Amino acid sequence: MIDLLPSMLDLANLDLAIDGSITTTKDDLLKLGARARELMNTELRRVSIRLAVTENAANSWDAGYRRGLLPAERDDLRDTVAYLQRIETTARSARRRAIELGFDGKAWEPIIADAGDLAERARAILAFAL
Amino acid sequence: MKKFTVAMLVVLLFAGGIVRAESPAVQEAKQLMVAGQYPEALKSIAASLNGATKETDPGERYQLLMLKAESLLHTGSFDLAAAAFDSAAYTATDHQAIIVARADAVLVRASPQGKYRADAAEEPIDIVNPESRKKAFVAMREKVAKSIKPQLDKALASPTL
Repeated sequence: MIDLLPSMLDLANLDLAIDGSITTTKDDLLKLGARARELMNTELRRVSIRLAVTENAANSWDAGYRRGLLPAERDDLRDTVAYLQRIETTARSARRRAIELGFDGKAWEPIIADAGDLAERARAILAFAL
Repeated sequence: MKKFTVAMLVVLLFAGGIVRAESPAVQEAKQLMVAGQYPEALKSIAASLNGATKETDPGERYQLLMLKAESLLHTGSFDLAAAAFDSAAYTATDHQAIIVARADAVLVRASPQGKYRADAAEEPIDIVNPESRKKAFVAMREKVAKSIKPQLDKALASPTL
């Protein structure tokens, strides 16, 4: 999905450059955009819950010591940051190109903001929940 | 060669309805390009872009970046040409101008050594020549549309990103 979106936007761009309209690809592009946002939102919710669980576990106390992050959790958090950055970058690019194509790019804005916030939260957990 | 270059510039300026009063910098770059002096045109454009200020008309900046991209195509610097088309798209304030610049960037990136080949069995299409570039646009659209269709159906049915 993430890989397909730029190709679909390229196709719509070619349509516009050649015909002056994107009637042939418009429906597919709108469907793909809506589905991508739906899946991105699902992923952001999943990651948000996972971050909360990891943070709670890291801050829990056992025999007088704060548990902190396990090595596997640190690796997982680093992967999560990269994953969130990929979602944010894709959404940012989709927003810009949607506007270029004459669409309203606002639907992408909450995803850009949420992905950025969650990436920041994951970095904070990595930095402070030692 | 001269005739071809003049035709190219006419295509370039009419594409996107961006015909407007030309600044001396744009005129100088175009004269050098018409004379086939692409490296000199690039130097002139670079000097003009470096001297640009916040007050510089975005339309002039767009024209210079498009001329830069075209000159880079003629000197065989295809990656840089694609980047210049992208910069032109960022700079443009006119919708059609953005579309033209972005489509050029997409095509140049899909055309190694300035030749677009929709299929290994087909003859490559020269994208430096603006006339054959139009054919390359159409060929690329057909190819992308064909390859996207099955992926699109799969992506829409997929439960994951």
